[in-house]
Amino acid sequence: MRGYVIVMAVLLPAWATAGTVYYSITDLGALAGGTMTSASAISTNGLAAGSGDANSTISQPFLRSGSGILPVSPVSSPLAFGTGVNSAGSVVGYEFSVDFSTFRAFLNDASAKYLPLLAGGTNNAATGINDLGTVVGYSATGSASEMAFVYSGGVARQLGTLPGGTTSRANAVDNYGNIVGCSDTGSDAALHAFLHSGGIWTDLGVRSGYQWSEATAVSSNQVAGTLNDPFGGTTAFLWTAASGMTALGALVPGGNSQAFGVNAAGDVVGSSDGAAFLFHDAQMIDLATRVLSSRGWQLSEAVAINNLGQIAGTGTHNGQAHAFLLSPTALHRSRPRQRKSER
Amino acid sequence: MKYTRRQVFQRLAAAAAASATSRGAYPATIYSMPGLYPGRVIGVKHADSSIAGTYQTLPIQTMMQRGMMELTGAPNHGMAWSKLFSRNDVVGIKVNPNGISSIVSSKAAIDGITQGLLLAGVAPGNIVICDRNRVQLNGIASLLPKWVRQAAASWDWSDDQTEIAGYNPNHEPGVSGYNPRYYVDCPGYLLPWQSPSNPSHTRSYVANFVTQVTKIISLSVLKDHQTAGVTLGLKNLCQGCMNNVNRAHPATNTNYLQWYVPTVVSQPIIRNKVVLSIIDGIHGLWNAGPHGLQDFVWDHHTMYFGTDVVAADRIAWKAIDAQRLLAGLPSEESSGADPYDAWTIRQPQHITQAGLMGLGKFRDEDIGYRLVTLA
Repeated sequence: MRGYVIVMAVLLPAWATAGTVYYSITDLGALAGGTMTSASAISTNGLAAGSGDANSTISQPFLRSGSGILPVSPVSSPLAFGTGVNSAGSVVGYEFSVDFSTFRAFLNDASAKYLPLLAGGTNNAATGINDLGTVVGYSATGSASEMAFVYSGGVARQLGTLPGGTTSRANAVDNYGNIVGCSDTGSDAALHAFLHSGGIWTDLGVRSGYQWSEATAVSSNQVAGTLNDPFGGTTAFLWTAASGMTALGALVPGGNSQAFGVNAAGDVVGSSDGAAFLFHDAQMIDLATRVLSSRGWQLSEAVAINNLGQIAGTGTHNGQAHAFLLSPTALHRSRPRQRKSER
Repeated sequence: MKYTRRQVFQRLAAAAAASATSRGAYPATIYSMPGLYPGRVIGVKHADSSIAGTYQTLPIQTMMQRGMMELTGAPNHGMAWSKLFSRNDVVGIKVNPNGISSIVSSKAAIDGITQGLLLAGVAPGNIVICDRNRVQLNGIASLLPKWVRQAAASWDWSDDQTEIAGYNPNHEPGVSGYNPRYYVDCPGYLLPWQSPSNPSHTRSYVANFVTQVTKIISLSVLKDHQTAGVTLGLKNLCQGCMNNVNRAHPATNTNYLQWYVPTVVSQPIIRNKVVLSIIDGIHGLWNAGPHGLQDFVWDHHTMYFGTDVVAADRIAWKAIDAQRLLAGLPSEESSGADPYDAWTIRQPQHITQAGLMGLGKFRDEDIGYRLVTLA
């Protein structure tokens, strides 16, 4: 038991075992010549990626590391979006051709390159990358407008669909190679959230009262996503193999929510009726109430959270849409428990 | 009190509208008609937006960006779109590709909308270009990004528009039909051969593409219409999203559009999903609509933006009337048949009626219209 406690203490960040967590906020600013940025992803070591306008570009991917926010070159386009980043600083996304007729997945790991299309397709988009360099996304094929793909070792291969399905989209991959997204099925026309793990497809289903579901994030078999009802309403969910799908509710009664990120502790981030939320300890928290100094900020969405508890998101700061990074602070932490040996 | 024949007819038609019922709930949101900015209409004029009848990409891009920024008060283009759309949305763009090529909008305008949605975080696969008829969508294929999804309810126009699966005699692909769960039942408006006891005749069903998106943008064109008077945002949403609509103007001397259009658009699944209306008035058509003749197309060089579809329609209606008066024609409301238009009654009052039904602002004193001139 003692060994177990020590292992847990090593694996979990200090804030996770403490009381109420507060965050310091970092404005990721704008690219040179631009005014706005939005975040899409955060890596295990706190690198953030997203997109923003810049000199002579409508939208350009960015990477935020310790040295600040830097533009990431797509292959050739003035309209490109960064969607994923790993701990090595490799950024993936998609970019539109100059004539706006096609879009292509790109990977920038020191140099920018297009990812191969699936056979018969003319468009593809990358949506996530893990620390091993595995990229996921979706591509058109000769018969499907969207088909999930996984790219590794220079090869893109079709991931497939849930049984009976014809179309799928992969949204995220974790460091264990678990892939999540959505797929149609043979049983109905609606999209179902899926987990693809170890070559096995798991249909995460659609809860009663909802029409379709989509998984958007995965971390160590914790899956987050969104349930969509027939009336445009949305509810964030957390899925685990042990508990199945749990609807997370909303910040206001009867409101809507969407989940965009999850970490290994099962903390989920997203947006609820225009406000960024964190779901932690079975409670949905308005992140604006947990920022040490939020003056001038409106936090509209949190899009990713890593195992260090760092959160990337987008809000408005003094009227400008800017990406932000939230870092858990030691302040307001409850008094640490004494170890047995110290008592 | 003695009524004229027209007055009697008008009262009967209004009574029929009052008896209309709808099926299919869809809850209202803060974006639902009249939307985030009731009564606010922005016009953006750029003299170089069309040169010698040819749309000019760069000025139109600028107009699109400025229009959305002025409408929303956002400091830049991307933020403007983010006021109305977010990454979880599936957005239908209801175009109006009916008529000669100079009055079906431009590639630059359509690209401006799709790029704005992408900047707001909407995934490429969650943007859908929609129209009732596949043939008409095919007619503007060169204007649409090749990657964008398209959705149509029927193959083409037909006299009998009552098929739930959508009129599609040769089983062509790309036709998704109508949804039996969502309809408006108007037994008072029927074609001569239709029966008041046949639900498929008395009902107009909503296109499946409407039920499959979370938000709708109307991209209409500044056009005259021989029965509706003008075909702008409301008409685009009504006749372009339902089946069995030709019964609303069953004969050249019989016209129910004043009531039918707002009755249809007030269906919860339409009024609560429509969040933005853009009227492309770079080219306008002041007579012989909706199909048009080039002789009646003028360079208006203006695009209109509003979340309030009714208010935007009202401003655009006045622009068409002004052009008609310049040409020596009567206003739409007082106009009847002429060598190019067969109907004796035109009903641009569908805009007024929509306002009276709470869909938006229709009185000039309630509309805050601002024209921004770029060049």
